[in-house]
Formats: sequence, structure tokens, C-alpha cells
Amino acid sequence: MKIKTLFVLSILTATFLFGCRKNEYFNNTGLANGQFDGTIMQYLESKPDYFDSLVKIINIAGMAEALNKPNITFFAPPDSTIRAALFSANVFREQNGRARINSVNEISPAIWRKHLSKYIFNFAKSLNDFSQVDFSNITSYGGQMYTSYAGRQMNIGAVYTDLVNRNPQTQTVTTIRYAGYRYLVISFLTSPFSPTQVSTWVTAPVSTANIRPNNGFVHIIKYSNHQFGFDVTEFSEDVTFLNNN
Amino acid sequence: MLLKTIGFVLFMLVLVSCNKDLVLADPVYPKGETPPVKFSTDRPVPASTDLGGNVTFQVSGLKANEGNFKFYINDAEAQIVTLTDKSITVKIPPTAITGNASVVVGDKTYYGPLLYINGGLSVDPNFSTAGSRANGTTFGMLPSPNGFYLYGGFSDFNNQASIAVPIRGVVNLDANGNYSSTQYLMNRVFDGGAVRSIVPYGTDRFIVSGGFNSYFWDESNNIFDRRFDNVFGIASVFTQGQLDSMIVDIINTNPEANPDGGKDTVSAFNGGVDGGDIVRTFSTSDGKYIVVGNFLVYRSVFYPSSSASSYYSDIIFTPNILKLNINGSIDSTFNYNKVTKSGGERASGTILDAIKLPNDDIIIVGNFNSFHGVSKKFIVKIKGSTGQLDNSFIANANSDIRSISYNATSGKVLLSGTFSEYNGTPVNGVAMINADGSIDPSFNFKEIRGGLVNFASQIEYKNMIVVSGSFTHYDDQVRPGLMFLDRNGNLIPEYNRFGLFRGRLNAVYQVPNTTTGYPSLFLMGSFDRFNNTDVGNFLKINFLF
Repeated sequence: MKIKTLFVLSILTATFLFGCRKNEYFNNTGLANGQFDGTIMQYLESKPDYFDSLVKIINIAGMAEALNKPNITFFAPPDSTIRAALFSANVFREQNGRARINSVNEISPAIWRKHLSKYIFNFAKSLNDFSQVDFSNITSYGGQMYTSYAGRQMNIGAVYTDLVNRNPQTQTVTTIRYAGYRYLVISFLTSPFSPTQVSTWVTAPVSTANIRPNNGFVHIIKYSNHQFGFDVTEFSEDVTFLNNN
Repeated sequence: MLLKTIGFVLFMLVLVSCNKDLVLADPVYPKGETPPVKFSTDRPVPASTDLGGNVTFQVSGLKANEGNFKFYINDAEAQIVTLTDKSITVKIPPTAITGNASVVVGDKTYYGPLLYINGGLSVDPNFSTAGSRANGTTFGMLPSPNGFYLYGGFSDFNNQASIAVPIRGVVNLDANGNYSSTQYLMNRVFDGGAVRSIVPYGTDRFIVSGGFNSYFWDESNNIFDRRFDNVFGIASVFTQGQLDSMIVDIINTNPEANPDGGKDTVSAFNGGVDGGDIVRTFSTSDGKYIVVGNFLVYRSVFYPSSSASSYYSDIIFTPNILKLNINGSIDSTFNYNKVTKSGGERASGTILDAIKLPNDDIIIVGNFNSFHGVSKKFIVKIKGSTGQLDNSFIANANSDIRSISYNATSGKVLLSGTFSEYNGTPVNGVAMINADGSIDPSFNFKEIRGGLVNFASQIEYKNMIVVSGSFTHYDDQVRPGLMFLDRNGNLIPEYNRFGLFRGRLNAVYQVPNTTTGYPSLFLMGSFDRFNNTDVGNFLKINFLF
């Protein structure tokens, strides 16, 4: 009888002792810190895995200074987007009887400058500072057209996703419009003459937003489905016909 | 009493202890920015107008920015007449063209609705822009018994193609340019590539050429379906679309089982090209055909040594240019060396376009820098009599020449492309030259911005010049994609009020129009917008004065 009581007691004690332990594999790292101590250019240089070629072309174009100025927002195209654009440009060059380009150095600084300028803005804005864009309802939520560094028209907006709750028991779906997560999208207007026709825009979603170097914001463009320069035809034509190197 | 107190305390405990704090979390996102300026979706009043008047747009939020914004109608700044909190009235600027209104406040731009500016050109009201679309590029057209034949690299027109009625490369149109229910070429199609050229031959036949390699005669999938394989990019067809065929003797490999196997029905035009497509075909004054393109060899079939399953081909190395007799055989007096048994050396690049001068001489342009083994920069003239280089023609450019056109009335040749110099003279991608290669200085193509030129052609009406490209500005004026110039290269403002054109032209075709009393123009090429409206690689526009 006594042994039984002891046994029950010891189990209870053990339960109290170990039951409420926080698991050690849970490691609370807090919220992501977007701060970077340095300029936008220094941030890019600190991530050669992503931005090695980008840093090279910024230097070729002579635009490092622009990215070190205060109050700049830079939508950073990762290296693979540059590779994809060069691939397309090389196909176009071959179709037009030109030799392939093997290095970013073979493209003239003016062309790099023209296309890099589409990614640079003379203000410091984070995801929360941009107005809403809904590509299926552009008249109500049209984002905002900004003039980029060299005067090209770009649309920037935050896509508000819907908050969708599914109840498996009742098989009901509750959707709260625009209450889900948000992401930034930057779009290039291929023609300034059809500005409200979304089908003529080339859009690029941002995968990592609100990185905060000392002189502005960096938003990293999602590498898949984006080619450097936004408009493949424009970049390829420039590299084929206007490359004076 | 005690029991009541304990009960109350217990009740309160239950109430308080089991009450989860109803705390609303801070919103994850702060409220986003709302644009301070907003155009209404209403169309402006008036929605389409001539120059010189005023126009009112519904737009809110401008009053607060009074003095700090600029108002544009398609890039031309407009003078503000009245401004209220809900609307703005502006004076239409004299250089305005059809396009969207916009407000620029600092580095922010707000786009409004389209304003149509009336000009001297409009889409023919009887032409269906929604229906009359080709699903691929169009290269040209010519008259047919009840309208026109349109040809190109498409496989459908006006969504009318079906298995029973295939449309590939050629379609019949009525006089307005719409799909004609009478399909002369119905169920007979060229397969394997685009139709690039159709040249009339006599009164009842056409020489059709391009990139195709077979002719398919579909009799609604019954046993009479026939495919003619020995069609090497060029064939002769009757006006109604039947292939001009002939019956030839071939080797019968199994006379016992198949006593009729010694005959075969084949294309009567026995000859063509291989290794590349034909770009242009010209009929010459001596009743023959000069074929220009990116092919390598001449090819024909020697039927006496062929069987139904195995054809004996005759192949001669004659790249880029050759001359054919009307039965398809090669003319050995043209670009053919009887000692080496071949034509001249292949061009170092792609042939993009060619014209024939009245004396049968041919001018070829492209992105090559040598032709027949001789250094020739992007343009070369070939003698129509011999097929050899005409070295008296001094011409060179510094980059691709994409199109060439010839005007028989003026005798001038118009070049367009990505070149910026012609014979050492700076030009901006379009140059007018004489038949001897010398530049015509009276035509002066101004500076373009925002893109390149891909086509230029002279039309008969008022000696105008039509230019298409990816440019956005010409001579510092907004001109998106297409423009009409006078003989000297100046914009004719009244014909250049239409909005965005997107794509490239391959050909323009002028026809008379009895309704307007002024000519109409068919546009062919690869394009999907005209005057900001969706179109499909083919269009008919009217001159209104």
C-alpha cells in the first residue's frame, strides 16, 4: 500500500519536475534585424554570394557613388537575374550575327547605367511606406508611379494578400480581403504610352524587403522569373546594336 | 452566510481565473500610404477632340498641390485653365497626341484616362480590329478575285481555322480586309514555314515562296488527302489555290504488286532551295524568277532515278541568290560558275530584305559584312543579268540594315535599320539613296529616342514615308512606334496624332477608298497595338484628308 503511494507520488514529482520544461531545440532568435552598419554599396559588397556580379556592373557603370548617397532606395537584382539577361542577350546577338558576350566588362558603361537606373530611387522608403497595389483592380489600388534615378517610370506598390482561414470540420473558408501578409512589387512600364494597361508592365516581386543600411533601404528582388533590366527586348537590343565597346 | 461567501468567492475565482485576457495585438503592418492624387475612371470631357480646345478630367487631390504639379497629355505639358477639388480643365497643347493624361508631383506620376486626339488617320470603320487578326506575323498581300490574299507566318485568322478548313500562311480577305467566307485556298495549305512572297505568273497562277517545305491538300480527311513533299520553299499554284502539278515517270520498285507504281503526281515547279528560307522572290523581265534568301543550295528532284519512297535530289551550292526558270530548273547564266559548278560564296550574315530595280538589278540588305567573299558592309547590289556583284554600286553602312523599299515613281531607295552612318554620312537609322548607291541629302531623318527603327517605306499618297520601330520620340516630339513623314523627313503633324503603335511593320499596301475619297493603307507585320487599341498583326487605316 505504502509502496503504491510512494510510486504515485514519485510519478507526480517527476511530472512536475520535467513536464513544463522548455524544449532546448526551441531557439527564440527574435525578430529579423534589417539594420546594416554601412552604406547600400557596402551591404552589397558584404554579400558576394548574391551580388558579386551586381557590384561589378555598378562599378563599371560608375554608380557606386549614387548608392552611397543619403536617402536612396535600391531594389537589388541578384546575380542570377544578370546571368539570365546576358543569356537572352547572347541568343539575340547570335540571331543578329554578333559574337557572344562572355563578360560583363564587354558591355559599355552607358548600357549598364541605363538599366541599373531603373532600380534606384532618390528616397528612402520601406515596405510600409508604399501604397497598395492590386493587379486585378488597378483603378482602385494602383500602387504609385515613381520616376527612377534616370527618369524612367516605375510602379512600386505593396501587394496585400488575403487572409484565408479554412475550417476543416465545417468545410468553410473565411477570407478577409487584404488582411494577409504583404510584399513589395516593382514594375517597369515597357511603354509610357500604355501606363494603365497592366499587361504591358514587367513586374518583379521583392523577396526580402526592408534591409536598412545607413543611407536608405535595400529590397532584394526575387531572382526567379526576373531578368536584369526588366525588359528583355530592350536590354538585348541595347547590348546588340548600341554596345560601342 | 459563510457558505454564500465561499460560493461567491469561488464563483469570482472561476470567472476571473478562466478569463483569457482579451488583448488585441498591435497590427502587424501600419496603415499603408494612400495616394493623395486620384483620377476618376470617368472618361474626360470631351473624350475625343481636335486640337485647340479645352478638356476636363475628373481628378481629386490636385487643389492641395496647386502650383506644385504639372499636367501632361501624353508627354506634352498642358496649360491649366481651371482647377477645383474634383476636376481640372486644361488647354490641349498643340503638340498633343492620343494618350493618357498624367500629373507629375515631384518624383511621383499619376496617370489618368485616355484622351483621343483626332487626326488625319483612323482605323477603317468597316475593318474589324477585334476579328481580323492573324495569330502570327503577316508579310504582304495582293488582290484576289473578291478581295485580297494575305500571306505570312500565321496559322489562324479571325479564329476561323479548323481541322476541316486549315489556314496556314495564306488567307482570303474581302475588300474591307475582313475574313472572307469564300476561301479559294480552303483546305490547301503550305506547311513547314511562313509564306514570304507571292508573285503573279500569267493570269491564272502565282509563284508562292517562303520557308515551307510541303503542300497539303486536305479533302476533309478522306482518302484523297494528299501531301506533296517535294516543295522546296517555292511552288506554283493556280488562282483558286490548287497546286500546279504534273504526272511523272518514276521507278516502280514492285511492278507485280503495284502495276501503277511507275507514275507519281508531283509539284510542277520542280526546283527550290534548301538550308534556309526564301526572303524575297522577284519576277524578271525575261519571264524568270530571282530568289533571294538565307538558303545554301538549289534543290530539285530527278524523277527518272527516283522511286515513290526514295527521291533522287539534284543539289547545287548557290547560296543567298539564284535564278529559276518557270519550270523550276536553275538558270545557269545567273550566279553560277560552270567551272566550280557552284554559285558565289555565302554571305557572312543574315539576309533581311531585298528589292528589285526596274532593270532587274537586285539590292540586298542584312547583317552581313561580306558577300560572295568580298567585303560588303550590310548592303550589296547584284547584277540582274549575271548574278554577280555590281562593284560600281558604292554603299556601306556601319550596322544592320533591316528593311529596304523602292519607289518606282521617285526612283529612290529607302533603307532602315540600326546603322548610324551610311557612306560615312551620319544618319539616324533611315537613309534615302539613289539607285547608284549615293545618298539623297534632301531626305534628312531626325534624331530618334527611346528605341530603334525596324521598317521604313515610301507610299504613293503625298509621297509620304512610313517608319515603324521601338522609338518613343522623333525630333524631340512624342511619336510612339509609328510615324508618317514627308518627303524630306519631317513629321506631318496632322497625320501623327494617333497613340501607341507597338511592334514592327513588314509591309504597307495602299488601296483606293471610294467612301472617303482618299486612299486607305493596309499595315502588315508583327504588332499588337495601334492608337492604344489592341490589334492583331494586320490593320486597315484610312486617310481622312
